[in-house]
Amino acid sequence: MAKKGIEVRELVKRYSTKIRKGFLRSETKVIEALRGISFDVHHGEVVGLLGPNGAGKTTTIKILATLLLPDSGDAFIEGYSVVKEPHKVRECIGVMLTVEKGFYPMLTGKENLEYFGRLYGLKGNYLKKRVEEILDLVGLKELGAADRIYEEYSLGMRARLSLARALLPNPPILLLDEPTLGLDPPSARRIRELVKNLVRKDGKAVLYTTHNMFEAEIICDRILLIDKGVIIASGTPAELKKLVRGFRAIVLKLREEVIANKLIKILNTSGYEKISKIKEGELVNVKILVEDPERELTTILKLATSHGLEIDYIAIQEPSLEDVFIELTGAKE
Amino acid sequence: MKPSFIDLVVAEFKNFFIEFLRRKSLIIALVMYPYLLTALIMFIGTMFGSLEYFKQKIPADPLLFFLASSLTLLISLVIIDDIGARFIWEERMGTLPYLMLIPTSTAKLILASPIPRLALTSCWVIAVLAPTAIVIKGVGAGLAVVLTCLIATLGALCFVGLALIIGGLLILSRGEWSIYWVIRPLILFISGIFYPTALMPIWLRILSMTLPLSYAIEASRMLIAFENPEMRLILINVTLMTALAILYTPLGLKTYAYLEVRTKKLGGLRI
Ligand SMILES: Nc1ncnc2c1ncn2[C@@H]1O[C@H](COP(=O)(O)OP(=O)(O)O)[C@@H](O)[C@H]1O
Ligand SMILES: [Mg+2]
Repeated sequence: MAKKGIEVRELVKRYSTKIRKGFLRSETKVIEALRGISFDVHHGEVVGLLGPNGAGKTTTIKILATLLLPDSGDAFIEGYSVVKEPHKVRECIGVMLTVEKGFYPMLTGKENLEYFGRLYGLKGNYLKKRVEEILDLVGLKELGAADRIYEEYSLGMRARLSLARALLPNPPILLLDEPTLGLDPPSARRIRELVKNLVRKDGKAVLYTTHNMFEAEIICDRILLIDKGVIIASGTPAELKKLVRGFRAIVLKLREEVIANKLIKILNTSGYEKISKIKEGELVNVKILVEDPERELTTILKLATSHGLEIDYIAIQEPSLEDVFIELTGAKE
Repeated sequence: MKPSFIDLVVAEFKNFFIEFLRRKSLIIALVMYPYLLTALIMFIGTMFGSLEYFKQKIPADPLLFFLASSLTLLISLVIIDDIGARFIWEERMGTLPYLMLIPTSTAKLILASPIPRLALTSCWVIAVLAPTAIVIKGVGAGLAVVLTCLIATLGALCFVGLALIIGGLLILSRGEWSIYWVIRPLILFISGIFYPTALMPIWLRILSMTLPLSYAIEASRMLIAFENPEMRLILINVTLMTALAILYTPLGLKTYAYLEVRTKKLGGLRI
């Protein structure tokens, strides 16, 4: 009996692309989007594929959805190979790609769903009932959007409709590529809650990509950290945080980026290594991971004031997934 | 659940008619289409030579000759556009990947997709052109128009294989959509829509013999434009056209499948 859920084995994908060197000249360059990734997703869990832009998340989803063929390796959906049995795979998956398009603009949400439903072999009264049910589930009915044409939909409505289409044939496996990217908070929350429910109640297996650490932490049972086509760590959010156990974060808020850069330079020369910089509105956050923040704080403050740098706000925090990511990749931003 | 071919056709019908009724420009375009095209074809046709020269070479009424051409063109454009250009639209709308995700081959859906427009266009062309022919040439000509439409529809269906290959090339070429606007008029010209193949240089004539559309045009012209059409010749044309279709359709399906796999290997499908 073949294994259920999603099984990914040593997937490798390279793209060759042209680097433009002027008006006519160009050079072919090979981009290694996936460098042999392997993982499993079981029924009843949401697994997050978390990584920055260009990490290879969409490439992974496309291969699992049979829209792209790997250069080597294979993946199995409910036991079917995405390379050798793409038709069987397609019967088991619901897919959400970019949320801003993907429907017929002149058709209403309901008509769009009915069209795609028919392409999945649903028909007659069952189709009608199912479409109503799903429109209600994703909250498009309460927004009064079911009978409006797609062209007029907000991004939040589009994302909801896209999830609705993925759920229409009630597939056991969901492949969701950044389903909440750019959405308004209520839509994003609705989608996360729905996904969670589908996993708890129906035991679906969900692969959920995101670059949002906060989101990954609240929705995923397990997280795979992906960077430059490699899975650099995996585990539950709590397990991942253990990778930086013993460390806590000192967060300094500063007014200007120049000041932040100066501070980072000073800290670097004084032997602090785990430093990251994140912009937050007007302010710039500088985060330093240390083992004993209470003690280090005074040292850091002394360093800053002796160089005449003004600090607006100071806090000590438990490490977040972001810190894990920075710790593992060495990324500074 | 796997959809049957009928399911796909039903889906396409609903999609097409909703959109059609909702876009006023589409309705106007359909109403104007036969008139505009007939005028255009007559214009292009007369540009290549005088009507006198035409009459020496081809023993037919030029007006009816061009009428037959436009009718066949109208109907065959449906196939070229619905299969070829469909990829362009679907990619722009972002629906193409989702169509490739349905649990049956994409080619099957593509084969189903032109049927609604083909049906509507054929009916409309008959409704417009049959009365015109009756007024000009009498009831016999009207009947010929109806028959011609049926042949043209068959001819359009015979075009499916080639259209699939064009569609496959379009997705593989990743953004080189403009090729399509070159291929399209080229095919139409070679098959003798604008200008009779009999008046073309020999190499073009040989090329035109490989296109099923050429036979449809030939047959429909004989039917409509000549006083006493020779049924035997018409039948030969229809048979040749069908034979080519039997050859091209599986070839088109195979080639399309190959091109789709190539696209997926290269990562060309844009989302
Ligand atoms: N069709 C393509 N051709 C060339 N390069 C591509 C193509 N698609 C993606 N890439 C490259 O592959 C890498 C991974 O991309 P992607 O999987 O889209 O990342 P993510 O979804 O995590 O942002 C990126 O460097 C991207 O530029
Ligand atoms: Mg992506």
